Amino acid sequence: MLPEGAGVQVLDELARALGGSPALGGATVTLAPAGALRGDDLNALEALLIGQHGAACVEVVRAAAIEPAMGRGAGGVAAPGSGARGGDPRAAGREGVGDSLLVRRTLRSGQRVRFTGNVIVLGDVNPGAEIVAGGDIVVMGTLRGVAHAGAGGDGEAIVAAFRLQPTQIRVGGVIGRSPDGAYERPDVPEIARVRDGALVVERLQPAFGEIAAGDGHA
Amino acid sequence: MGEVIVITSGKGGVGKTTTSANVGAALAAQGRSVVLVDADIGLRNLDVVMGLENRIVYDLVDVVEGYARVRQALIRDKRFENLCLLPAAQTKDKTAVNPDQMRGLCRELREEFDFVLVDSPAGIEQGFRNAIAGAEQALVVATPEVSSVRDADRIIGLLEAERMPAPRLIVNRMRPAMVRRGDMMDIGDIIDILAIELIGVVPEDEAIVVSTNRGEPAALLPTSRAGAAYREIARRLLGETLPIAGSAAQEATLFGRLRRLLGAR
Repeated sequence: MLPEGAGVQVLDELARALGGSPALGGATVTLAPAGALRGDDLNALEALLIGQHGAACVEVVRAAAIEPAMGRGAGGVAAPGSGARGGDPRAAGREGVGDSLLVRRTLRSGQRVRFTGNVIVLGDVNPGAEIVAGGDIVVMGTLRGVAHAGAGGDGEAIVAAFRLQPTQIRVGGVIGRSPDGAYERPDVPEIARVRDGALVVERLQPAFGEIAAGDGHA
Repeated sequence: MGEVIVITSGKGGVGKTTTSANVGAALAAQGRSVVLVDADIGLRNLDVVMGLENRIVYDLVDVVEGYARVRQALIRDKRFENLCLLPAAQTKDKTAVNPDQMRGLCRELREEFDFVLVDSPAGIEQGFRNAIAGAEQALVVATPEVSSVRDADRIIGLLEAERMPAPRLIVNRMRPAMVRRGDMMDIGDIIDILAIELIGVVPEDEAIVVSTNRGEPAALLPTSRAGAAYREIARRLLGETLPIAGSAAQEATLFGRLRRLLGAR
């Protein structure tokens, strides 16, 4: 577990502890930062663990919620100011839902992000990449890989993307995959969620209040 | 001080070695001093493609282990004074070398050559780690197939984690007729996913098979279409701006489509 604001000092210590060899050959390394992990820090950690020590992938989970306690807040989506940026783990009653991880790059094949809150990707999620989130997943780009929202069992979670062409989507315990063969790929943002036990994909309407209410009829 | 460029792909059989040999020969034909480093230890191929197999005395492993000096292991090309090959060992495996040794080797080679081209083995394990260790630029080779593009994406992710600045893409074995029929991924599809700069499109060409078997890089054959594409890649590496050859390729890019829409060309 890293102290809040994992910085250069922690990186140096980690590098020293690991020595000069590819000791992590093929392992998955799970990071559980106590506070917010900045994008730069994450990149530096990845460079160290994957680049120099041969880890297969790096995951990020919230320290506070390693034992999943995924109670979803009443409103569904975090209210403004409840820590969507940076995340305050003490935000009462919202833990795991109010926290969001902002991934400011494209996730490429073999890369995986695991996070107990919401995950927002500013980029694409390519085939072979995977996002597992306790809350919602929003991809501001093309989602072609695997997205698992509501991984703690939250059936009200959503997956939204500018272009939704996933290999597979899971919400809570419901799994949906893209049709075999050629299928229509609308050139508009879409949203996937569970309705009556089945995964439904529909056009993302600008009626955000409806999404927040979680009971919309599009 | 020279540039160290690794040629890599993830997937095997997409043309890393052919690309290394041809881009190296084309750069040498442009008057630059070039050394080709075969980092595929245990599966030595680059010497065969260059037609230099029978001249090998020492190899890369001999050099890093201190049994030979770099100068002794380098093999001068038959055609170009300014083109050399550092062959891989055939009897060892990837663990015979480590990334630090490769960094040292590349540092030494770049003192003497304008270009150090490192031919990476397939895979993402130690052989790949060794190949990229001393490089500061990367050329990623992919064929227009879903599996190859997937592996190229993985490789680009690993290069990014290594802080390798902006790898560039070579699409190899493109068949424009198949693309026109809709039976092959077009350049636009590939760039959509990989989102890196394209430095060349090499068409499928039977001349490659012939030239590989004869040990004569196709880049030196004026009639080979693939050879012409490799010569253009070399010129782009030297900083020239050339349109990417192959009208199908150009049309396929979004930019090309836009230009056609606007009637610019």
